[in-house]
Amino acid sequence: MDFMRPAGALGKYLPVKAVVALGFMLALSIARFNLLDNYIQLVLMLIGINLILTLSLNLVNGYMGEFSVGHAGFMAAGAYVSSILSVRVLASYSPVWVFPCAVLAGGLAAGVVGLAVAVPSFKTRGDYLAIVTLAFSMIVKSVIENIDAVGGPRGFLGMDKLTTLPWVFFWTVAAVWIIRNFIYSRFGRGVLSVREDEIAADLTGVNTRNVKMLAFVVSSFFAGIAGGLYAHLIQYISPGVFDIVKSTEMLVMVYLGGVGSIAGSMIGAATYTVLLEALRPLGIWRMAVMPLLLILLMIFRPKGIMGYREARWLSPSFGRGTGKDK
Amino acid sequence: MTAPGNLKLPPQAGGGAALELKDVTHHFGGLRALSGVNFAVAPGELAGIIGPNGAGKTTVFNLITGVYKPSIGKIIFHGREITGMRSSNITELGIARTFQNIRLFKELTVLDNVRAAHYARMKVNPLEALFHSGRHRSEEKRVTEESRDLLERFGLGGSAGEISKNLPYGSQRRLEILRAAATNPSLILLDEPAAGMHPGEVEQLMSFILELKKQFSLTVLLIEHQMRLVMGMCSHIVVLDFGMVIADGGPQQVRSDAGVMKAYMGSAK
Repeated sequence: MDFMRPAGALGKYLPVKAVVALGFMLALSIARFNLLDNYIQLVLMLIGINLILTLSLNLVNGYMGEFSVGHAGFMAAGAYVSSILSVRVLASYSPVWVFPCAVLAGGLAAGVVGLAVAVPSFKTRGDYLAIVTLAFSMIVKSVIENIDAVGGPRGFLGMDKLTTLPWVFFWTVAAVWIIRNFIYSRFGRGVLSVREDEIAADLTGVNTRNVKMLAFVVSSFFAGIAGGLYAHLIQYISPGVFDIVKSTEMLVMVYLGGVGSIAGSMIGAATYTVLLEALRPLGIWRMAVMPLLLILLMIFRPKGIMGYREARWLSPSFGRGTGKDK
Repeated sequence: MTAPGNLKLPPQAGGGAALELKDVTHHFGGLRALSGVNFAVAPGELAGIIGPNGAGKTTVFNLITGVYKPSIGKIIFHGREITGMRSSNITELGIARTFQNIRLFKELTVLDNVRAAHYARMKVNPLEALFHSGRHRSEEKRVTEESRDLLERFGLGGSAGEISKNLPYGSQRRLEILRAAATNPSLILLDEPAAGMHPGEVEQLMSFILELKKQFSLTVLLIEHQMRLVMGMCSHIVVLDFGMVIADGGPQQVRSDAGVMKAYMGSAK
């Protein structure tokens, strides 16, 4: 990508690993010494969480070309499972261990739920996934509303504020790295070939059903991770948080930044999160901005800012000397 | 490709033919697209299917590759019944194909189109892929080298990095054939490979197919309308009309067949 050349040249002197280590140190010290205003820290953490969500949805909608509109359901699964674990089950243990375990368990639970959704919906070919995921997110919402043990419609609280900037940074880097690895692998090419032409993919030996399930499980796992982080940041979750509006937010971030692009997901998540904060003075009207943005995007830039393009430093061959795509 | 010869499926005892269709009948709702089709293709043969539009030629391909399951009948590949198997499994067994209207992975690069075809033969599990393990890296390296080599040998080496939809038409046709070859098949099905090509290009395509056939020791079955290509290349021709085999034999035999004349010209005289 030509317009990414300057970043590429910079990358020769600044290996990605060093930048990540530096970023982690920065995140640690910001959190430790309160170098930044608490509000700014909150916004940074929201950007990270939103980035994980955007990547997660982009894997299904952008790379695989299916259309999920119910990712808030997986986020809810992760948020509730991790919160219940940290408040009820693991409360007596040291938070140093509780938090990563709870978040990971939330992600795994969401992955299992994702598998349960994927098995029936991928039996058929075509656009049924949108309807299935929409129905699924409604089911999740009503199920939680009707379980009194987790607060029903009143919501669930009692989580300590365990989500910190270094943790968000860690999970965000993990999400970027793992999803990038997935894309640049045997299975990633399978996912892309499904998007391009599912019948041709099958007839070139790609087991399309397995590939789609795998992508969906990875995607819901990270939505669950984001849910766990979110729950321990805001310290309050309710079924209303994970409704269709949340799923729509994720769609806006994906289609703003660019379908099928990790760099695009970064741009989308950061732009959208900051925009939403900047528009706070508008009050409830800022929520009108979101659908409006989606409509304008669909008309003028249907693939988003970075649609199908990627920053060079995200390619596995970057920094290995050869310019060839390995 | 290190070993072009297919090692997965040794010709099984008793199974002489590479591909055999036995009484294959297929209905689309009330429409009978094929009725009682029987023919066999010998290993190493270059066979052709011809017939007027709507005769059921592409349906034959779709049945062989598992896109449709035949209503009645059996399809046998090297002595093994493949009727009703999943398409990706049939491809894995060694049958690859191209399409009448090119179906490349348009937004992917030329190289990735070919690399995607290695899916079934890559020994990488999901965890190794998610964490880019050593085995993932060595498999990627192998597949990339093999794919580049294939493109190089068949004249597309220069455009490996290009987005495949940007290739000229003729190259897209060739890339689709190479993608099929990259699945390491023993039988390749070509659906109108010369469609939309002018005579000079057809000539090139013919030698391209013959070279590919030789290098990969392939059995080839193709559908074609260009008589020059079919009569010039195929040693065995199956003629379909209204879903039935009306002639089956060598080019000379088919050319002089009264039924074929009737199907193409409307009358025997």
